[in-house]
Amino acid sequence: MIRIPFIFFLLLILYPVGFPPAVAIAGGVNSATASIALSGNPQESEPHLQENTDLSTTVGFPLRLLQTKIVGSRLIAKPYTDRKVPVMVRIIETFPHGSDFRYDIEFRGFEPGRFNIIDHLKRNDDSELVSDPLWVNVEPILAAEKVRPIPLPQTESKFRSYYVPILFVSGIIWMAGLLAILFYGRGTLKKASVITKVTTPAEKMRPLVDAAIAGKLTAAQQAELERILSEFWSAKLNLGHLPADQLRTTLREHPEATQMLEQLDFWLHRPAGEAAQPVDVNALLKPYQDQSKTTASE
Amino acid sequence: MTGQDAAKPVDLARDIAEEPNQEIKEVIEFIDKIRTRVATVVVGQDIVVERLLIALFTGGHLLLQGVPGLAKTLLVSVLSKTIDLEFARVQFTIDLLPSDILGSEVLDQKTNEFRVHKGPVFTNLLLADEINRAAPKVQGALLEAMQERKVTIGGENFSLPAPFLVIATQNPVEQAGTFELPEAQLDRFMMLHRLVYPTPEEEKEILRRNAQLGIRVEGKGAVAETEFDILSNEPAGSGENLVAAMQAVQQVYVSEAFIEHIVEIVNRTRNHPLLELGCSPRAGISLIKASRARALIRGRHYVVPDDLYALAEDVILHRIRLNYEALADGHTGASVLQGILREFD
Repeated sequence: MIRIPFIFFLLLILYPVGFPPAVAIAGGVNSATASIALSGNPQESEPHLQENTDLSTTVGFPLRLLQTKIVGSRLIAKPYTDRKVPVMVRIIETFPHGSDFRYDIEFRGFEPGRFNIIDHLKRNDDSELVSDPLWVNVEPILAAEKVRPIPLPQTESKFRSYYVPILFVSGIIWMAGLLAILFYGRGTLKKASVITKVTTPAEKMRPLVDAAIAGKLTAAQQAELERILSEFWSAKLNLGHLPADQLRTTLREHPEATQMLEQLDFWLHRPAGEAAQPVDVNALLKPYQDQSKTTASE
Repeated sequence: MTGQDAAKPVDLARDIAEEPNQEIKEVIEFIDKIRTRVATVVVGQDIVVERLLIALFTGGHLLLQGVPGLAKTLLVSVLSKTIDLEFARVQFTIDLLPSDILGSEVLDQKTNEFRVHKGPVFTNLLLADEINRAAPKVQGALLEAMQERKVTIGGENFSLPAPFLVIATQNPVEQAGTFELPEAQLDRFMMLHRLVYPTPEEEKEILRRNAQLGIRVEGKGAVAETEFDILSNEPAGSGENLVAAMQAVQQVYVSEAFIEHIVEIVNRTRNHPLLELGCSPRAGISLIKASRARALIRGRHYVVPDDLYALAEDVILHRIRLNYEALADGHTGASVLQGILREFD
């Protein structure tokens, strides 16, 4: 629902500036346009020119001359190189007309006065342009004594005086932040790598093995020790790439690892009293106790 | 299917050397008969058979994910015939209604009274083919029946037969026009097993066997025989054998250390930085149930971590969900799960 008034508003803004000629004619951009285009029929614009009647518009408002026939080779607008020239002429569209051409021309005057549109055109083939003048009267809207608009007051922003110091301080803060990220971040990473280095399976295993030999392991610690032993063998046999289930299968096929796993099964997973003789936890874990000590000393 | 399971077929030799007790021995014989019978019709797929037996012995439901043509229907069909169970298959489609599965009340014009027409859910083994093609209403109705093992038709409650096992399938590649099962419903499946293509050797054997199939004369015509035609109708076991196996599963010993392993893994999924959704308590229960059944199938009366690791992917993977960061970094559920299983502190 909001879109419809918005589009209407947009149309109102855009209307005088850049619509196709047909729209401009129908609506009547200003009196100057209307004087040419009100006839509606392109054919009727020609007599106006032939009669050499002055056209008129007001300062800044465009005047469009539609289907204007000018005898001779094709015309183009002179390049607008001098900013002091008080008018601007554009050829919007060119139509062939026998050996001649018809033009849709837009004229805009920036100062009051009487101007010849032909002065601002030239032949495309650089031949001499000889034509009847096409006069346009550009009339002012302002009162006679108001030659130019009232100049806008130019007050200097307070912010502008602090702009350079603010830039300088921001740059220092940015640099400090960058350095902090680079050096503090790297330091944290180094610390993290140190922690990772400490927690190898052998190192992690040591307190648990000691506790197991002392008979002080809880069920959770027993399970943790079993996982670590499995990972210890994985590291020893370079099986880190295997999925967990394949690792167990591979360890079951390894002559030494499978003995350890079978003993662990008897110790941790089989109903109590099933083994022909109780599992000697000391004997089972002794090699790993030594191993963890060796690794720690290294 | 896990990497190990895909790599080599299940070794029917048992995990332990010692002689099992008489009760377990009978169950093992029963399981061997089933596997032998299935092997006469289906080549390979030993792991799928094992997962089917686990589901059957524990009363859990199984979701099989795989492309068409991997003998899913044939497997379930041969399993039902082998154990003398009723079998029904429902092809799920977009226009399926809950009453098409559960049943409905119909007007008997002779008596002018409504009578209950029971749907295909009243069976022992229900194959829900391509479950993700049905509307959520139908999926919900089936999953409710799976959970409660009873169905309400016209205000009257009907218990489903025992055993009641739903084996659902879904195709992982054609996702257009499907309704993906939400996590809450996936959680009701004890396991989601991902089927893989047979090995080249198995494939050769499949082709050889298929080439030996003849034609079956019917009336004046004949039709080409399929693997379904060579199924023996003589069951290899009875309901009593199944009940004995289910009882034996319940007696498999679960140690405290094993429970600690499960609690640790389940908790890791809940606290993992790459996971948005971790395992529910049902996952832990399913892990223990499935591990017990696997231990029995392998001839053990106690579970070991090997059971846990072999089943972890099938039990856990469909219950976890990666977060945005994990997806953006290219992680997969399987890789994150393996990281969890291999973590040692």
